[in-house]
Amino acid sequence: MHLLTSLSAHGWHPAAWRVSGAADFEGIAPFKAMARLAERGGLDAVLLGLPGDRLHLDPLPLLGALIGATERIGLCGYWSCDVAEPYHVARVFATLDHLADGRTGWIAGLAGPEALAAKFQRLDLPVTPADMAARMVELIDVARQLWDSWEDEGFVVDQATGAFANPEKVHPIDHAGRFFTVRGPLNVPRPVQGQPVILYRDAGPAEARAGVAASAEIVLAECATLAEAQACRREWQALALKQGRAPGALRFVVHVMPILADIDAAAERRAAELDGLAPGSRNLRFIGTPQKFAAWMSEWQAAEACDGFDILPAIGAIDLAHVVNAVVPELRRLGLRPVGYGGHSLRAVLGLQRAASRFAA
Amino acid sequence: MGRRQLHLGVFTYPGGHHIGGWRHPSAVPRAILGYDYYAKMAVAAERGKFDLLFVGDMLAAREKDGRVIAQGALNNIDSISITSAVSGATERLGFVATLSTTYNEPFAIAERFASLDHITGGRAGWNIITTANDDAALNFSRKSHMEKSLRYQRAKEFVDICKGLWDGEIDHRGQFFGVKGALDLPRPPQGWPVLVQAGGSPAGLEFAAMVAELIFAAQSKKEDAARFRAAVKERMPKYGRDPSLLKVLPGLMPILGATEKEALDKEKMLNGLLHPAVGIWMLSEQMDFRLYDYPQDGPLPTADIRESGKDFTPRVVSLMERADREGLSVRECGTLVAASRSHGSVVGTPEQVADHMQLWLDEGACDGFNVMPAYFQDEFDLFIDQVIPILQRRGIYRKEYEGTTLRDHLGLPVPRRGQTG
Repeated sequence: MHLLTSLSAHGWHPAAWRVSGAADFEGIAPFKAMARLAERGGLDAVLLGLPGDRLHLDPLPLLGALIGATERIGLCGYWSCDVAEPYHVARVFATLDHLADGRTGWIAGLAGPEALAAKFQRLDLPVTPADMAARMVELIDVARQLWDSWEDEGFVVDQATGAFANPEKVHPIDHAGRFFTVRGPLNVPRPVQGQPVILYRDAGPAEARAGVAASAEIVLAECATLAEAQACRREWQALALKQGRAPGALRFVVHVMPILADIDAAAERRAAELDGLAPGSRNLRFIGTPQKFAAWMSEWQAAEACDGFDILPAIGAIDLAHVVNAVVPELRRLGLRPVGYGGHSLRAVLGLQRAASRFAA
Repeated sequence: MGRRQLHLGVFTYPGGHHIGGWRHPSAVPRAILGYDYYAKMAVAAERGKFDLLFVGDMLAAREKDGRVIAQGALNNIDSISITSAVSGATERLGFVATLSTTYNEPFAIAERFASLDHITGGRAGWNIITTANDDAALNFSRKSHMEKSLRYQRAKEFVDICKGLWDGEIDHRGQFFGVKGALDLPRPPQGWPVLVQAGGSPAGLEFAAMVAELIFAAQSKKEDAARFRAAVKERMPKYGRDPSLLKVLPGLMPILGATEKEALDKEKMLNGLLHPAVGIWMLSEQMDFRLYDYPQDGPLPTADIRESGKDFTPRVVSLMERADREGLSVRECGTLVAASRSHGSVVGTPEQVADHMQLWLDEGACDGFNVMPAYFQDEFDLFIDQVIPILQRRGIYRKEYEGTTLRDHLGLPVPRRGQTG
């Protein structure tokens, strides 16, 4: 079972900032503390910058700052595709993947015109769902081409001969598509993982799914019920197969907000208290003890509703601590989580293949 | 009033600023993309009480006709990633990251730098560039690069929007952008990140006078540097700005030896590691003029270059003058440019390097330097261990940090909300 957690300044319940006891804004400190806590629990990765937090630190410098604060856990950042340029995305994530020694993932997605229209008043951007989806699919494809533009053997740095790069192994991509014209090559050598892990926040138009299924390795979805998750996972898997991908290449992960306590009644009380301050907006919540949460997760997995969870702790300091201290040990007892990190890179931890460059002979 | 003080930055580079530097036996070129390479540099800079660590930005590979330059294929990797990553390894050091106003959007960049300033606790600066190389356009779905004066008009509007967003809510509609709203963040600890500018063409100089609080200059001669510094300061009042609130740091590549001879030998060794092809490529890029088909050992074709009618930077102009005066060949000019990436260089003992720095400071040519080690990490450590103590003894450089933010280090005030200059 994949186990991820989205980081936020206080927690994902809309009332979290009012009851967490922390100051309104403490910069990066809570993010570092949560990332280290998640790493102590052996979680696969932390997710940064997903919409819904009250204050918004740019996930790119946030991801950078967590590289030195952690050692093993994966670091994934959201960079929505609405306005982004593929050369920037490829360059920044290639850099981050080198600095983090192969622990990064890019969360693609669409914020949607409502969120962005005022901030980026550009007339050249697509407005229909189909066009927005098409632009995103092309953007992901171009970013991947750019990561491939340096083959592994392109970065030579042979001090004796003075060969820095091997021009035979570094390629212009000469991409000319509907939305982007990009010559390449990238000016950062091939990322440690070949390509950072590609995650996709499935909140955009349904038109995007077929195209995204060609590349997404982890799909992050909001599902209200087990039946909905089962149907959604089946749809994604079918789309991935249609794109010629191997079975199991695409993993389906569900967001869930746990509100936990040592006894059920205490968890109920916490939930009521939080909802009294601000109504909880999440579709999928779990209220109860850590043991029951682990059992509930195991049921979802067994029912093929998902391949793992993105934990959105209602209050970071409380609920993520419960997950690390009580839920993870229970999942290990059930044989659903490994002890320690199974590999060096995020791909290895997730059991994903390192992609060969498309230019490699 | 005490003596005027030097301000120091260290300019990171994958390998080193001497283009042959990565081949120096002490360099570990396989490591130049990793966290430790940059963290070590930042920790050392803080040990040397540096004001800041600087990272540049390029948006195209070093290539010619689609093939990367085999002997020197890399420029800086992403600056926001590097500075945010190594900020946690330090407590006081400032960080200047570079992002282009030509290939970005103001809302995203205002948010990025506000975040970097929060993450570093008020230690961020933004080197505002308009991107000089035409190749970038081809990676950003444009047929050609934006014309220079337009680029600077866009940059001015871009920066105004960012200032507005750092200060609060805006409703902007201008020539290049429409932006309405506010960042989901408190005002950055420094108000605005320190605004930095590099490059010294006429359009760039006017822009610097309008917005820059810190300039990375490129003059390699003291008189040119003094003239440049005076020219920017002279223009500031017309934009309602106080000229004393500008620091100018020219680039400086020191090559150190226990004796002068040892330093000269080291320089000769480094120049021997440099491949002429890299130099000729760099020269072609800087002049925006293809030199590949001219004989390498023939004279620099300055007449043809001038005829191309480009808006040359002062460093290109002064190189052409020198080539005419001294009859330098294409290859020799390339080596000159590649050796120090066409910034100033000083070769000698720690005392001689300190003398050079003090002279420039005393004669008003600068407020400090952006130090460009020929290779990392050893040559930078040498500078910190041997030159810094001399500067401190002479009373022209801090022994301890007095403040915690980059503005504190540079003696720059936190801007008032809504301040225009």
